[in-house]
Amino acid sequence: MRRALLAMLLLTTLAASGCTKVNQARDTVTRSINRTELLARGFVYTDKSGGHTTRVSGSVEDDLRYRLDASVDGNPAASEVVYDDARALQVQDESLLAGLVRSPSGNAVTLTGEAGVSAAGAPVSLAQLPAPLQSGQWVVDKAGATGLTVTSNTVAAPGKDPLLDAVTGLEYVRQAMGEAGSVEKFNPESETYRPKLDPFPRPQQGVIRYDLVPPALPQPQSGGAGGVPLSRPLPATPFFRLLAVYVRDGKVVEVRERINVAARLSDQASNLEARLGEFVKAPAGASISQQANLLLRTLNRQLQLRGQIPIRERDMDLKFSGLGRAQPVQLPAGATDTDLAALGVQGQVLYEHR
Amino acid sequence: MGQRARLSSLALLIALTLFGASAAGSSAQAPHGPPAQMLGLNVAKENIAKVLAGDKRPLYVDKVTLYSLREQSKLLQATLEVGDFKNDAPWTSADFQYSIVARLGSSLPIAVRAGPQIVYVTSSKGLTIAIWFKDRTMFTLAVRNGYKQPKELLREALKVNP
Repeated sequence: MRRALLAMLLLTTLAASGCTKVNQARDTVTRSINRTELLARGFVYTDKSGGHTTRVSGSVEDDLRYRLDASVDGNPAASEVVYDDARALQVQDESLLAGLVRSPSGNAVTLTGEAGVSAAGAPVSLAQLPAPLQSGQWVVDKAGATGLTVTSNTVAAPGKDPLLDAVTGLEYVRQAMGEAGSVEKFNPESETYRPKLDPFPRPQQGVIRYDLVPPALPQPQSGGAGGVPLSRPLPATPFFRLLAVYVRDGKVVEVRERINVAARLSDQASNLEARLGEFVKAPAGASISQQANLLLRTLNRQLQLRGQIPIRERDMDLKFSGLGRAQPVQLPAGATDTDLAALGVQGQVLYEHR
Repeated sequence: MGQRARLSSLALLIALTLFGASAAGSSAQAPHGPPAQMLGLNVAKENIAKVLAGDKRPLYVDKVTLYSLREQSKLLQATLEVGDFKNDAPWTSADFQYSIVARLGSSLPIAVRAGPQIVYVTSSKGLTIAIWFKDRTMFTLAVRNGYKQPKELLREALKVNP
């Protein structure tokens, strides 16, 4: 009896220490993000998705002043300078204009073809946007960034507005941690570590890497009230996300992310291959790649029907530099004064977590 | 006129929320203060002694000064309050500072880094309220929503010495 009690206590202790470790890693990364946000910084954000590479280089002087320059496949695409109350913008890649129309929640809204929705919720057409902006020139709205309060603390689904995606990269990581199953310190000596399934580089000397472990595959629900079947929970982006945070001297120096269906299908520990039939009927003999494509299409169709964010496969890299060394940000010379209200009222995009 | 009255009354409400009140609250004046103009707004010290004297709650501060920032047309665009914490107030504690900030406004405060200074921002009834601490002095800038240069005004206010 006494031995059984001791064994139980030991198990409880071990379980508790496991939890503590997990929480410690999550807390450590959170603190590192908080410290990094407090610093002036430069960064390069790279998003590879759908055969295109979007790169944004940024300089954050403080939370009220920053500059972002984006390119797509090596071609200049868009630049933004927020300087206190003023917002200057230059868009060379017309396809980005739609994504730059931000809703009051701070999210990019859909603006396809001729019409979309403005910040005020009213229809807006591309023709309503200032002509110099449409022709790729710098424009500046002296009152285009007057919002000091946050319009939304939810980071938009990446892909529509690369400028916003880049500058809110750390907040994205914070939210991803909230969606992850756990956060763990990278340990290549661990029995569970499988180098073939690890898409990210090992940390350099003096750098500590933390990995976000995806949540478990959702279990089918047996039924709701009165025996009415509930809709099947679907694996969404967090399940397909692998993300590593590299920390040096208590500050984040790099973030890497891979969102990929095939990668999770190849990972037996994900259980996805074994339960694939619950989500999609793949033809016999289909390769992992074919299964993944079919699953991605099926899941995205269902997620969209439910009003959820579809899965967007991508490889993302966010590298920080010059931490604590402010690069003065200036408004571009020769920009045309204009009213950017049609692009949404910009609330405070950057802020600190206390 | 309605907006002016609302802003004035809210500014006083902030003063009372923050500092409680007693004669001590109005007995001293801040040695330094803002310039006569900020971004073209006329800055004037307001007499709040009577209002402060009417409230008998415990004090965290022993000096409070309220400045109004008005356009040439007298339209009140903002107020700046400067208050010094008493010796026994735990003013060095971040938790204490945040507890005061949290009492203001109707939205969850955020912290914004403007230069080296951390500024807490919240909002209430048509106003954006920015609060920051320099040593034992607390600054509160309340700006009417719709004012076109709130962040630049904040930068100017951050230069003010207590």
